[in-house]
Amino acid sequence: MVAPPLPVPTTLSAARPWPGLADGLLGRDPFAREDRDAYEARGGHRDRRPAGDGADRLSRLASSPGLGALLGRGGAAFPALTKIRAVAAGAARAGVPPVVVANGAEGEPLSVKDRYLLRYRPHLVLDGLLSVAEALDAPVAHVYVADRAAQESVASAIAELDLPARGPQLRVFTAQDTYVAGEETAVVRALTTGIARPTDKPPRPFQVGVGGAPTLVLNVETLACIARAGLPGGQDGGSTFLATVSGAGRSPVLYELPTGLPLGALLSEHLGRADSGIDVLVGGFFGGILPAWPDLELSHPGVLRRGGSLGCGSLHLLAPPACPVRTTADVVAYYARHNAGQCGMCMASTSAIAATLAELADPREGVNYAALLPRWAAQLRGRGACAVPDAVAVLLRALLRSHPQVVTRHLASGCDQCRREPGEPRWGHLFVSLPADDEAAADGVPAARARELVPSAGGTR
Amino acid sequence: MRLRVDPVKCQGYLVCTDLAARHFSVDDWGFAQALQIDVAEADVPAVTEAIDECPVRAIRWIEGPATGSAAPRQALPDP
Repeated sequence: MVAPPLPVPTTLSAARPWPGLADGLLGRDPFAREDRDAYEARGGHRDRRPAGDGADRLSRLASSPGLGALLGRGGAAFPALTKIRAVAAGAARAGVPPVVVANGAEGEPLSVKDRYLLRYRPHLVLDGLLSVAEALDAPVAHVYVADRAAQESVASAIAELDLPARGPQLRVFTAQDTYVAGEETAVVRALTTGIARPTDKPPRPFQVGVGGAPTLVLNVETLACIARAGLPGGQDGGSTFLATVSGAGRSPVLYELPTGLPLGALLSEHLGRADSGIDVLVGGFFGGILPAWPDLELSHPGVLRRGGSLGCGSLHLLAPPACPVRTTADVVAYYARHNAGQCGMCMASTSAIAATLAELADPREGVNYAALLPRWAAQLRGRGACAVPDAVAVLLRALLRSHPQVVTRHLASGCDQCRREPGEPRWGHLFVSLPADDEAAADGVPAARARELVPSAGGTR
Repeated sequence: MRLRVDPVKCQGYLVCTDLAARHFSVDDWGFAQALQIDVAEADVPAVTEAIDECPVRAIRWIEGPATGSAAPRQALPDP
């Protein structure tokens, strides 16, 4: 029997701060674009270009609430201040001014938080970007975006700012809207050559970046957290995070959550229950599928301890009868189609692994799947120019570690959920978009809706 | 010092695994990977030959401590 595809809502239905967080990143009216006046009314953009030299401004930035512990929000969770200081040191060593980039090219199909911030909270992002650029004495700061609504919102925000000529100048760059465009070496390459595809490391951007200059690439949510830490009242920069929550047949919701919230509390709020049998695909396509343990702590260290990765903060819920093997197969199939098309080992391995996982619907005789899957997970670690092979390795490891009985059951007797009709869409349901009201396509069909009608385009936005 | 095979360049000629088998292996799809161990003085001639003979010049020296695993972690930047 082949399971019929379920109609799945993919457009964000709400943006909601967790109770008690009304003054956070989302605020009281999440879908009202915050213009310069509104942002300044709550104390933003103050003390633009404060006195002193870059070193003074850097130490002032470093001492703002929570900054020392702030982890980057782009997925890798690298300490933001360590990265900022590495670029300052690299620029001093090289004797050239550094370049600063706000990275808003959110390639993860299950995450909309960066696109949201650029569209509705552009000044929060620009304030953080300018503070960092001032602290590094960077003459130019780029806002790197991948969709037109973000580009338009940021361009108007820059015009509203009317920056003085003596401080950092802001530029918007619109990249190809692909999965890999937001990877930090792809960002550097796009700003230098126009090609948004990753390059092998080392060197990393903090060593050799845009035009050869040491370059700081920070995710737009990271910058929003930095700006927030500088607002009156000084909220701890890392106290909350944005989570795109989708799946389980519900309309997706963008939440602002307290860092460390137990998953059970979120499930009670989102589903009205914290029942068993649910799995969660964490961190876009990057963090693996874990059982939705109610005590799973939603923080980078919390998810890491349980064998996954919080990544960009998205949580896609898989309610019964959804099968974690099938979803893993679908995600790897997405990677087989949406990798950068550069590394032979990535193109070959993603296609082969996607095909093998799909085969678990009806396993073939004589194939030792139980040995192949961990072997491949080990072979892929750290291999790619970008982290796509690592993502596949994390998915395989999480499947083997968190769902061993499910895998064993597939090997013994196959799986109805994993059987597909030829040509059946693989990842069209693993997608979230912002509401389409200000994103209508030229023919009047909202762009988000048009994408749902073309499943193969589900991954590129 | 360790070695890195640039995955964008590697075409799977596998000259490296022939010339310096202690430092390179082939994955299940026919592409080379550098084993993340420090290169001993005695291995430098073979490794140098592998670097020079790679038809697409995909191999280079990189700094940093050996991780002991098949490949370095890349999910996190390491300034």
